[in-house]
Amino acid sequence: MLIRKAEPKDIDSVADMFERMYTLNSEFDPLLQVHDEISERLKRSLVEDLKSEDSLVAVAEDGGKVIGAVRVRLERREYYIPEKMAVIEEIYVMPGYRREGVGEKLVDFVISELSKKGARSIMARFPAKNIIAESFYRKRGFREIHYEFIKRI
Amino acid sequence: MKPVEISLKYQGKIEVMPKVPISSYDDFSVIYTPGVAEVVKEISKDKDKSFQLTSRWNNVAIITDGTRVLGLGNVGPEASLPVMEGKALLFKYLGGVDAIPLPLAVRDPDTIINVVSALEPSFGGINLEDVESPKCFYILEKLQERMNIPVWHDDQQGTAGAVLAALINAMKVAGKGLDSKIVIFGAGAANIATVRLLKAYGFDPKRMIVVDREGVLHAERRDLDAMMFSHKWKYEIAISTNGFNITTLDEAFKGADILIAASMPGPNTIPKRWISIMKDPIVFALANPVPEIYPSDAIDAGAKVVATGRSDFPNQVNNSLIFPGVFRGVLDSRSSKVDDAMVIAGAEALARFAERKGISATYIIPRMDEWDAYYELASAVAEKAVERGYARIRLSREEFRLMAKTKIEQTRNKIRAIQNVD
Repeated sequence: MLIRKAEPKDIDSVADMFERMYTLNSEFDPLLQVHDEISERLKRSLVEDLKSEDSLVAVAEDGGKVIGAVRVRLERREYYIPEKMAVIEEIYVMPGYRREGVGEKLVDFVISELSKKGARSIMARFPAKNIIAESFYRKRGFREIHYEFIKRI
Repeated sequence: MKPVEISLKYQGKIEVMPKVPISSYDDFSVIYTPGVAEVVKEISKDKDKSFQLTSRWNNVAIITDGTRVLGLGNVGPEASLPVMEGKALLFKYLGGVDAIPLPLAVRDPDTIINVVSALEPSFGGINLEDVESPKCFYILEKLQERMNIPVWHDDQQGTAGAVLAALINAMKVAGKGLDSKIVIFGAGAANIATVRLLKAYGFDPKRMIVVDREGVLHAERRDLDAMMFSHKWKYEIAISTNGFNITTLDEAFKGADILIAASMPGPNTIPKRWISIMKDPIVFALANPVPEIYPSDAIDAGAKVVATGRSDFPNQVNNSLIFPGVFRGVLDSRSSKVDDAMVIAGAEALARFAERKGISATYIIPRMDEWDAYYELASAVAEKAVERGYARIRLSREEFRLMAKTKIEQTRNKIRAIQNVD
């Protein structure tokens, strides 16, 4: 298994995996219903992010097949320090390859890449009811920092 | 007589009968207070003595919440009673076990777990019955962890045990091995337990293909992430089976050696065409009341051995072959657990019993009225309980067999005597 930066040829499979992740999110809350054009929008934004200095898309490859992916964006916090923070926007590992540490390797990879770019903290965002994601991040030293509340208006 | 008329005539199927003789007024002070206080003191010094000095050793609770009764679904606890009473009768008649129907008016899994755990002092074993999936997996797992008496869910382990017993001999008849390609059709409690048991027996999960309502289960199916939260047992199966990465039913059946269907009643749930693309297959069509495919159609399409859930066809795969003997075995060995190894030992004993009588395409598993089969199964389960370190009574296979035989025969004699009086 190999972790590497994503290339344009990976975009279709990465978009497919992220779509799976957003579809799962939609199971947790009606206000996380996915957009009809999610696939096109993901592909478009991935094309941009592959070129951008402020984001990083990495993939896990097994036997020539992309089986996991993560996208992280670099954000600058205006009023807090340390200023430069990485945000995990999406992460996904294909079901057949889970529990083999692929997710952890993806996170480790982006942390080491982004700390080179000056990021001093990393944050993840996921639905509050996703207890599997919660336990994944807790086991890796993450903790909750903000609450995000929502209501329909 | 019709079922409702019989129920009305007898007003239920079981009753509690004393077994200590009462010949005079004085006997009451021995059986009950003040004499019983001495027995109380004995047990309060050593709780395990409740198995020797009371009926606990032979008592099993039949627990249900009435959420998945027969093919009728969620009929509620009261309406499940006739089924649980029938089960209690089978327990007694086939296994000599005193089983008490206890349908519960609770649906929440953790509440059920708390209620059942609290029953432990009264029973030697727990039989869960007709609890809906996937709740039943969670409840069974938690209770098995928490309780020091065997906990059994008949729709899971009972069915899986019967399937394995029949399959062992079917494979001999049809010349199949552990490397068989197996289609598991239906992903309810029975088949999910069957996958686990077949794996424990030595079949390769990568060569099993499980089919549910949505089609073939495979690791890239788009509903898998949601399944990980809603039904983690099926999710586990989806990612551990189907090493071929097959996605269509045609590919699943093509060249497969074994079909185990426990899905929707037939007769044409499984079309003949699917059987015809299998390779000299063993076909188990277990839906009731009508199998997924009639045996004659399956044979027509090339099946070498066919089993169903029905007694009017050859090779009936039925839980009733398994649970009475399993409970006889765990109660006689006073086992604290019942695990897959014990179910496998029981299934192998049943298969050997049939083999000794002479197996063929129409006889792979004993019939329900071959009483000796229950003693074989019970003693095999008890012996395995000793081997696994769960047994508090450690006897030899022979001794356990004799114990089971004696208890079951005595029970049947008593039933005969009582029914003559009535």
